[in-house]
Parts: sequence; structure tokens; C-alpha cells
Amino acid sequence: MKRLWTFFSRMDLGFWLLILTSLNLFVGVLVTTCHEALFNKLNFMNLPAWIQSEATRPGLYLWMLTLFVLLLLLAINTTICTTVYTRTAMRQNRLMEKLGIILFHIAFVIALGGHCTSEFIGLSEQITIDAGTTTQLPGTGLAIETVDIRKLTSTINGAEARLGIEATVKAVTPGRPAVPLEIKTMEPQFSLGYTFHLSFMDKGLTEDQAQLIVRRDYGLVLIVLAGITALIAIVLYVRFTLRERRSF
Amino acid sequence: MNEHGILIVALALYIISALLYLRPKGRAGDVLISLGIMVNAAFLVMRGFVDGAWFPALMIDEKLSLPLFLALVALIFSLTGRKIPGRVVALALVLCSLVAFLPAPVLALPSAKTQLPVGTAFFLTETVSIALFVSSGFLALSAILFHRDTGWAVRQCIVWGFVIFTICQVLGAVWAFAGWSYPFSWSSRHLVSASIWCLYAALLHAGAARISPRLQHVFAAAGLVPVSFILFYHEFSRVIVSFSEMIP
Repeated sequence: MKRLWTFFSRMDLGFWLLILTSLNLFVGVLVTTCHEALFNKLNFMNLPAWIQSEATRPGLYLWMLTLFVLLLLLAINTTICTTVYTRTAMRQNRLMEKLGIILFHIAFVIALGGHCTSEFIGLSEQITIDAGTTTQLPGTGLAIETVDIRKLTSTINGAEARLGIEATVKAVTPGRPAVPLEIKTMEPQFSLGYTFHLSFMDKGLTEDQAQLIVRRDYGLVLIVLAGITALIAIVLYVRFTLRERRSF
Repeated sequence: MNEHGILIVALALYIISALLYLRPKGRAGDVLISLGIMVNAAFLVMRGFVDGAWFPALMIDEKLSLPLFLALVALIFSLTGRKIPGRVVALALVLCSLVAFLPAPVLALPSAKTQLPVGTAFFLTETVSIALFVSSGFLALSAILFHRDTGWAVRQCIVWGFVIFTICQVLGAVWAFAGWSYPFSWSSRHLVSASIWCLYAALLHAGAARISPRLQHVFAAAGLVPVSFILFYHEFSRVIVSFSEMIP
């Protein structure tokens, strides 16, 4: 156990894991560029379900499996190194000085946990809604009653600029009063434990139709927490670095 | 003077200032590069004016704004007495502005995606961090090829580039969630950002991991590959797809 701790507390291990992760991600860039439509499906599916649907083509997902292994090792390495670093900073009475760096590493581990949760559990449905009709959302028990859809356009410099889509809908759950929602592209709504988004994509749809995305993302809370922690860490780091430079 | 003419003036100012930077003494290079920055900035502000209204989001175009931030990096190095890094970044500036300014700029129109300020902030921070990563790449190349002592400058560009790139990733996650419903997607654009983040995170740990300076420079120079992928996303994607189609 002690040998394992020593192995994972090595800084050079972290360095090489990050380099390998970077390379692995770049392989992912090449694969996803060649199969854009296939990977776009994954944004609205859980990873295990997507891998199952592409099981016969390991070339598409092998890099993802190695990526998850690398990220797991990186999370262990980061946690152990940060623990050792924090202990040393406390012993040297320099915790406040090093707090930015410590928080940044904590944010990284939380972000990994959040993204991992989003990939493996949660729900995402993309449906076409039509003004004046009700659409069932599979797997949620929700029905979406679409009251109105408005496409926002403007003529600028003689060309038509598409400025977004707005929709007035009601989310209906059995045994509960319907929840009215005003959704706009770039302005999602949170209700009933779901987020409701309107997609920009309306190719092939009529003026009364739009694409609605309904998502329940359990990892989102962790991702938001990681983002806020990272920003606080950066503020602390910059403040300390600038103060150190001034005194230097 | 038309819009393209303004860019050509900025390009000429950048080229002349880069040549003046080769002189061991004098401030003429600083004056001309400052003028170039002003002309470049004026072009970007004008780009935001469309049909009598001002759209701040249209000002930030990665390719057209990159030379401005590279020029700022070169100027800062020069004004702080670090002539060699100033010269190297000025060379990167000339190459980037040749690529960005020679083709006529495409007229931009406002869209739904450009309406959230977080989107503008994302592109702004991304361009600043890319400018710092491009600078670090060229500085590392000069250390490898011409044995220039640019280690300190490479480190500064990586540290501040990484800090700003992390802020950019947080903003990007917010923007992607608002617009597309997910903070991270399995698309080449998101994956290449993650790859870049991991590479520079590794380089930040390189000193503590006792990685040789030469190897650090090799990785910093290699960073130019994924960074170029962001800048020339469509061009790279086309090449990768056509190459993959040639493979049976």
C-alpha cells in the first residue's frame, strides 16, 4: 500500500499522464473529425448505450476507453499529490500562499467526477415540437404542450440574420398542474429537475416547428462547482503571484 | 479606404516593426508595432458595426484578433528589455498576420450564438491564450533551433496562457450549456481544447517533475499543432476527412 502511495505521489507520473492524455485526446480529435455525425449522437446518449450501439467498430471508441483509464490514473495522482502538497504547505505555515494551487487541483478532480457522472448517468432527449400539438418525451413521463413558436430574424445589410427561436410550452406531468415555460435559444429553463433548451438547428423544419432538448444531467452540479472553484483558485493565484512580484 | 485596406496597413506596420526589432537599439519598432495595434484594433471595432448597430461579439474573430494580441506580447517583451523574446514573437506576428490579413475578410453577421456576452468573453480569452501559446511555441522553437535563451519567456507565456485558457474553458462550458445543452461534447472542437489544456498543464508541472529543459521546449513547440487546429479548424477538418477517405 505504501509503495502504491509513493508511486502515485510522483510528480513525473502526473507530467507523463497529462502528456499521454493530451495525445490520446488528439487521437480523439482525428477520429471525431472523420465521424462527426456518429459522435454528435453521443451528445444525446449515455456513453455505455452509445458504445453498445457501435460495438462492432472498436476503432471508434478504443481511444475513449484508454482516455478513461488515463483520467482515472490522473485523478488518483492529482488527489495524492495535492494531499501531500497541502500537508507540506500546512507544516510550513504557507497554506494561504498555496491555497490557489491547491484549490485548482481540487477543481480539476471535481470536474473529472462531474463529466464522468454526466457521461454514465442522466437523461437527454431531443424532440421536434410543433405549435398547437402535444409531444410525449420518452423515458420521462413528461409531455410537452407547444403553445407557440417564433423564429426571430432581421434583415441586416440586405441579408437575413437568424437571431434565434422562442417557444411558449407547457410541461405536463401526470397528477400535477402543467408548468408554463418560455424558452429561447441560448436561454434554457430549469424546471421539474430538467433543463429545457431550444436548439439553433431548424433545417428541414417548418416555421411552426423547433427542436427541443430536455436534459437531466446529474454531473452538472459538480461541473458548476468545479468551474467556480477554478475561478476562485485563479484569483488567489494571480493575487499571490502579483504580490510576490511587487515585493521581489 | 476599404476594410481590407486597413488590414494591409496593419500588416505593413507589423512587418516593418518586426524588421526594426532586429536592430540592437532604438524604439522605432515599439512605436510602429503600437501603431499596428491601433490600426488592427480600429479594424476590429469597425467590424462590430453592422447596419448602424454595434455588436461586440463580431469584433472578436480568432484569426483577425490573434495578430493584435501577438503584437501586444512582442511589445511587452520589448518594453521590459527582453529583446530576443520580443524579436521571436514579432516573427510569429508577421507569419500569423500574413495568413490572417492577406485574404479579404468575410463580412460577419450577428446570430443567435453571438447574443450572449459569455460567448464574446469566451472567444476573447481563447484568442489571448492562443496568442500566448503561439508565442511560447515560437520561443521554444528558437531555443531548440538557434539555442536562444528563451526559457524564462516560454515559462511566462505558458503560465499566463494556461491561466487565461482555463478561464476560457469555464466560459466556454457555460456558453456551450446555454446554447447546445451540454458543457462538454465529444466533438473535435471540444476535444482539441481539452488536449491543449492537458499539454500546457503538463508543461506547468515540468520543472517540478525534473523534465529536461530541452524536452520541455520540444513539447512547448509541439503545442503549435493543436493550437493551429483551433485557428484553422475548418481547413484541418477538410484535410483530415479527405485523408481518411483515401484509406480503404
